[in-house]
Amino acid sequence: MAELRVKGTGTLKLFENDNTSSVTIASPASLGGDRTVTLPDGDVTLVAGTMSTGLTGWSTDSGTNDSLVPDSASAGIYLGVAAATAANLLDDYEEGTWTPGLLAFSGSAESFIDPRYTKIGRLVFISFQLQIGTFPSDGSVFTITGLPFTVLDGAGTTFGAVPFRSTGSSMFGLTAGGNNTRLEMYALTSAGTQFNYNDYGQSENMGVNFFYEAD
Amino acid sequence: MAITKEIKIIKTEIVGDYKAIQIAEDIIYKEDGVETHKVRHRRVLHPCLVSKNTDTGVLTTIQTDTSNEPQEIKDIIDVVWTDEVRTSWETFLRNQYGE
Repeated sequence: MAELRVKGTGTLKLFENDNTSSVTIASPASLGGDRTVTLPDGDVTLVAGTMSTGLTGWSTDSGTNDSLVPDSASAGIYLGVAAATAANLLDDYEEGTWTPGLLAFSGSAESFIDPRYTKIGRLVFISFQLQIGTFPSDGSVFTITGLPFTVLDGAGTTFGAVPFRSTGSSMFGLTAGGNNTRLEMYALTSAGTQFNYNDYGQSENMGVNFFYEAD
Repeated sequence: MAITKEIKIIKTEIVGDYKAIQIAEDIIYKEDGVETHKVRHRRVLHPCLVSKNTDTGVLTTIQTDTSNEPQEIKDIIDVVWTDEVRTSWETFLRNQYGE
């Protein structure tokens, strides 16, 4: 084995002929296989500059926390597989806030607390707390508007969630239909009666966690 | 010390046959002009919404007020919310109430 040895102490610097370009450690392709650079035992410190990941199409948010950033917004990561398989591609993640509202509500004493969402792939998780004070009689369907993403299209695309409280005689649930961005409330009975604001009641509040699918 | 809030549209997408306009925007908080933190906010615009009164059975169409939208959103609306799209969306909503 040939060795390149530095006599005495100091730093070994490798430059190309122009004395500025860096030097790439390589081996003839005919050898095949991975090449190994062996570092001495103990700590090794990389000084100055940025060490490339060797990945093309990715960089880091240098100066923040060195998270990986793809050049393309549609790039993702395949998880749990050793080959590109569409079902294993995680190519979307986002978290933020949204602004829910009550559709055609005649009162003005409603407030939504901490409406948040997290989108992982096609799955959207939303949460909020709703407080409603007193309001005039209102038979409009209890409808929460403003979902952060459009519900996935599809004939069977209806999703449900069950908040934690009941009114006088019925448990109730929320549903969202395809192409929409709203939640409607139904009684959890065989008839599935649609709730209106009067059914919900005055001076009530509820916390909601809801999952649905989006593109 | 002046604290200001700025809203910046990050992405707009046109979703589905009914041309829902899906908007991602960053709410940027600044202190004396220096960004202190940023929150992603999402909203989706439809041409209208339909409400039903379960006591009377009456359906009411509520047109979406876009008068305060930024010009870039208004420009998208002008292109994608054709009369045909507006009509088919309203019909879709009303059909969900069995009309």
